[in-house]
Amino acid sequence: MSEDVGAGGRGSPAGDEAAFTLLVRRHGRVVFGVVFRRVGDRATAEDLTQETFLRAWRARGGYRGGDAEARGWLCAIAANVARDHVRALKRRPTEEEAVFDDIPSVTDDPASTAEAAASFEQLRAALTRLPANHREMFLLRERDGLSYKEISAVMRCPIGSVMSGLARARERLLQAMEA
Amino acid sequence: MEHREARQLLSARMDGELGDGQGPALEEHVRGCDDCRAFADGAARLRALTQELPRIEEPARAWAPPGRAGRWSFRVAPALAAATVVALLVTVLGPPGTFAPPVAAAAERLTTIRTLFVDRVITDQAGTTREKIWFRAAGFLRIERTQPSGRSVEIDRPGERFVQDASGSQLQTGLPPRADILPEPLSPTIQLLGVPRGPGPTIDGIPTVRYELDLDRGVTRTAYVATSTYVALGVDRSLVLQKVTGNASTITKRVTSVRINGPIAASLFAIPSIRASDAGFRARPLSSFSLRPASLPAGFSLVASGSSPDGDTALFARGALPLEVDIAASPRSAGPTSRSSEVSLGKTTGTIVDDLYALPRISFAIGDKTVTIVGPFDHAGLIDVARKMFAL
Repeated sequence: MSEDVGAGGRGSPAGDEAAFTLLVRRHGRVVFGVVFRRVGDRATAEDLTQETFLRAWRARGGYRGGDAEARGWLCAIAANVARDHVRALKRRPTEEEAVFDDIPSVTDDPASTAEAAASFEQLRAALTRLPANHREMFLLRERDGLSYKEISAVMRCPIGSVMSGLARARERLLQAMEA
Repeated sequence: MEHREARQLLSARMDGELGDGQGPALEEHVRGCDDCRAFADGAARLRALTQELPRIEEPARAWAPPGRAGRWSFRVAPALAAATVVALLVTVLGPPGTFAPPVAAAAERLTTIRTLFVDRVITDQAGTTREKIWFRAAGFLRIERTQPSGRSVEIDRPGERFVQDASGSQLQTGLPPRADILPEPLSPTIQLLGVPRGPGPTIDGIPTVRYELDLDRGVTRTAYVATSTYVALGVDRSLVLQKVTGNASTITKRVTSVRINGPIAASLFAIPSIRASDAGFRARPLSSFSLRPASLPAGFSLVASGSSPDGDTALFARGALPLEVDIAASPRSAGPTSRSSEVSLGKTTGTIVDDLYALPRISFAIGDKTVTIVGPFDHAGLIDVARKMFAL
């Protein structure tokens, strides 16, 4: 799987397990966010995150990327796991999948100054008004650090759509922030 | 080059995704276009701000790899693991004992309250607000407000809060259960905290007793309480609170209608299905708490228990009489309407906080945790509950 697996001894169960634990620790939060934004429920997101890592564990033999690409690989699996879950529930059409807010309110955060909290709330409100797919692209890029190729795998859309979607998301956010 | 194309390329450039040979044409456009330069600057600021945004708390539990064949992972058999933990705790610590909390007379009346409906009028400088309040068992509360600025509805259910007003509808889920869901007209706080100062005026034909409250700096409050009915029923017909800040403001709350223990339709507490924000509280048994009470209050039933990023919370109730236990990393902050006092708890000390608008509470440290107990008890009652519940 990752380069760390190689360092720990690919094929050796103990090495695999140590490397996988590192992977979980490093990317667990991002994977949880990807799932949470698609299901909107914390308990379900916890279960689906576990399912994501289980799938990744089973598929680790087929993974050819390095450590740098592991995050995108895990996010793509997470999006599939969440899609399967939503499809099973038949709750929402897939094009409206990423609709939930995973950014906690910062208004009451004592660590934030009033000015910073106001800016955060402004951005948070602007994000909620973005089309779901643009919002998800923006968060995958800016918060989770995925490349365009990785975002296209997670979102199941062409790279060109990622490029135009991100530019559009930034334009809309800036307009909303300046309004 | 058009603006739209230029912005896509600027966006790609800041992401390190600009294709070979696209740079020169982009540079040429940007040199002559103030709007696109402003876009690039704005996108950079947006990036800095986005990366500072707080994230939803990652669950505390670990996601472990499933391990080699024959080994249980915690998540593969959570029920078995939980049962094992409970069994171990019971084996090592024994089952918790029980004790009878010393409930003051004012609070004791709450044990007979099952439901409450209150209609009241609140007058202050902003105008007049009419409030209709339905209380149905611990944690179920509906408040309808009609005020000059419009109408609003608030519905509380255990773990959920729905608010609808002129600005729209909001639903929050995963909230810790709170003792302070007790509506103010039902709260015996005034009688626990106030000093009776003789007879008050007759209001709507009902005689009252005047209570003086002086909790916060520079603000005094007078409560006219229809003691006979208030004590007997929690609250009845006329409760008037007057708040006086210097000569500046007066708030009058006049209860015009009360119905105790009448039927209240469950449908009043139905919450529409809308997008929710999640506060992160999840039900867990008391046995999983980081600190486990040594004994539990007899006669009380456990309404809810669980954990959130802030810590563990358990809510008990006996009728409408609530008892909340919080185990967190730090104590709750006291508000401007609060008064704190230090008390002795055997080998340790605690802080009791009296607040006009919330139930009294006591906080004390055990190891690196702060335990807070909230309930309509007087000081002696809070101390007794704290010492017995945590064997202090």
